[in-house]
Parts: sequence; C-alpha cells; structure tokens
Amino acid sequence: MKIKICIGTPCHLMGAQNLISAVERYQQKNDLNLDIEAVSCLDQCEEAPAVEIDGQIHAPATPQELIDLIANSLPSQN
Amino acid sequence: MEVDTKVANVSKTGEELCGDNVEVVSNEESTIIVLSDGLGSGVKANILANLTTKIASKLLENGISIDEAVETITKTLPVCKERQLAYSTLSVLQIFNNGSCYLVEIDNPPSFLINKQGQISKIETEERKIADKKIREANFRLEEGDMVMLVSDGVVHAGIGGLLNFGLGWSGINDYLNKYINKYGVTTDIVKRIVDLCEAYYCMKPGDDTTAVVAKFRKEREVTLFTGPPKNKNQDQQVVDKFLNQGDKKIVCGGTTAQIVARELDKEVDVKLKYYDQEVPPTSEIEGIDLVTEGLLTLNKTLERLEGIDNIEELPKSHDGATQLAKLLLKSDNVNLLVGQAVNSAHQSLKLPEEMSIRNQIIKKLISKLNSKGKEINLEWF
Repeated sequence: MKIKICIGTPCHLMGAQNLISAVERYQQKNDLNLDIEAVSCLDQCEEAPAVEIDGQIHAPATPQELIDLIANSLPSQN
Repeated sequence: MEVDTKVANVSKTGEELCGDNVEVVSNEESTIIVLSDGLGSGVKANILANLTTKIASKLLENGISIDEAVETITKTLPVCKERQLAYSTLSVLQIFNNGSCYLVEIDNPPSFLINKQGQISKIETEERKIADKKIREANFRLEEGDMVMLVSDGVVHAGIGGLLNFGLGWSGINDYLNKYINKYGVTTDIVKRIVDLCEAYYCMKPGDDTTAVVAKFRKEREVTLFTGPPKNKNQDQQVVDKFLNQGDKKIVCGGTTAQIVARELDKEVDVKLKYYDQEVPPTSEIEGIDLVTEGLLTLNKTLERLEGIDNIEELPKSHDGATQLAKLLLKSDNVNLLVGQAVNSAHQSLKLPEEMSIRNQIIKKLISKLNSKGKEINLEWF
C-alpha cells in the first residue's frame, strides 16, 4: 500500500507530523510493510492535512481516520 | 575576495584583563588587522594596547601613513608613573582586495606566512626608523587560501617559568604549526590550538599575555535562495535558469517552489519524513541543489535561529531545515534572493495587498538581519 502524507506549510500546521507518527506506530505495532512517503504538496491546501492512499486523496485527515482507512484497505487477516 | 580573521588569547596568570589587544577594521578596499602588546600586564597594559590598536586602525583605515600613525601613538600614550615610559608594541597587516599586503612590525615577533599548501615561512622584512622606533616593513602578495598569523611575544616565549628555560621560540612555534597544519589543514582554528599549546607550556599559568591572530585570504562565498513561485507561470523557466546560474550554493525554500525547480531540471523531489524539530517541517532533496526546505515556517524559524549570533558555532546542533539554512546564510558573504510573489490562497486568508503579504514581510526581515551581519544582498522579485 502506498501512503503519501503532505508536509507542506498548511498540512504541517494542521498536524501532518501526527499523521506520520501515527502511521509509523501502527506499522510497527502490526508488523506491516507500508510504503510511506512525505510529499511537499498534494494540492489540498484548503483541506489540510491531506493524505493520499493508493492514489485516493483524503483531506482533511485525523490520525484515527487515517489508521481506519489503512486498516480497512488491508487484505483481510483471515 | 574576503578576509577571515580569528583571534585567540589568554591573559597572564592572575590577571582578568589581557594586556594584548587586536583590532580588525575593513573598508571597501582592504582589511586591516592591528595587534598590540601593552607594557606590563593587567589594566595598564590593557589600556595601552587598546589605545594603540584603536589609534592605529582608525588612522590607517582613513589612509594616513604608518609613519604618522606611529608618531601619533608615541605622543599620545599615557606615561607609566613607575617606569616613566609609554610603550606598546604594534603589528599591522593590511590586506587589499587584490591580495597585495603591507605588514609593519614594531617590537613584535616576526609573523608567520602559511600558504594554502601548508608551507610556513617567515615574512622577509626591511628595517627602518620612525620616531626613534625600529620598524620592520614588508610588501608581499597573498594567493587565495593563504594565511598570515601575527603573534605577541607571549607566544614565542611560551614555556618560560613553565616547562622550558628559554621558551619555544619562533622555530618551536613553527614546528608545532607544521604539525597542526598537517593534521587539521590550513584553517583559522590554528590560533586556538597555538594559544592552548602555549598555555600548556606555561603549565597553565601563563607568564605573559599570549595572543595569536590569523587572517585567511579567500574567495567570496555566494549563495542563491529561491523562494515562492513566480506570479506569472511563464516565468518559471527563466527564474530557474537564473537560480542555477548564480552563486556557489543553492537553496530552495517552499514546497511548490521545489516542485517548479524539479520540473524544470527534470529531477525528482525526495521529501524526507524525519522531523528534527517539531516546529520545522522536514527538508527535501533535489539532485544538484544544496538545500531544499519548506517555505514560510522554515524561513521564519531561520530568522529566530539567526537572532543575536554571528558564528556558525553558536547555532544549535540540529539538522532541521531552519538551522541548515541559517548555517548556509552565515557562511556566505553574498546572498542572492529570488522571490516569487504568487500567493497560496490557503496561506493568505486575509486579502492583504501584495507588499504586505507574509512572504514579503519575512523576506524584508531576513534582508535587514543579513545586512546587519555584513552580508551583501541582491534581491529580485518575480
């Protein structure tokens, strides 16, 4: 799964750092192999903070929403 | 061309004030370094040395001849009540922008010439007399990367009363200089090492005020900073071309600006995930560009980092974008600013007029801060 997290000025101010640390923690806890990338702008400055999961933009995103999105997109465990 | 100077000194043991003084003045055509050792030690010596360096540097800076300067100093210095003597030593080194140098030494040890390959030599001088004082004079030329070190007698006498009977002498210092240069290269830090060495030879109780000052002749360092997308998109290529053709070091501030540069260069922007400072967004990388940071927040933090400091050593030991940017700016003599005026509507909820935009205000503050640190600024708006 490819996750792009915007760290541009508005996204930074609106908490992009929390998104990054939440995803990193989630990945570590569940031993996942996510492809996390920081990007300088996703063109969603008005809706900051923005993330893109497999080409799909989500903005604004809270850490919990982002984790839920990732969890739901993962192939089912059973 | 520029001249970097560095001074290191220790006072005679038990004295708070140093009886040696160094004064560095620069004008458009030259840099003048003056070193003086006042008679005795402590307050009296400090006053004599201070007066001597101040008078000499001011007179020489204004183009008055060394003869007149020496005469003025001899007649002005206050006479010591006990010794019935007004006395201080003097070394003056004037380095012109083209590398030609004029050196005068009165009762100070011979200066050290250290060329960029690290070879050390005594500067050949000629003697003559001014107002009953024997002076040694030399005219010579420095190449880029060469250094000259002036010392007070406390340096060549290092060890007297300590480890040695007769002190290290000029050749002893020369040997150590050789060792240090082989190990650490031709850098201005050498004066600190030499003075530390002398202090050690004095068994940490210097028998005399000990001072070394070094001047390094080097090329000017120029940095170009590009921030903000140009108002007119058609100008992107022109501004990026300009950015690439100016300066030795290149900095991009701003996510969109970085994307413009990467697009025009046909390269990728590699954004880092790591936060070194909670308040400074991570930096990015574009091949061939020295530093790529976020825009306004980083610039604003850079202003904070530059507040009240003049040396790179005083910056926090952090790798965040603002500290790195402050470091590059401090290292440079000339700063070219290419500033785009396109406004990101998300940054600018207030409909401020152009000249009051956040970017304009930060750039104005940055310019006045850099000006106060003696940097030459070249600003262009797009």
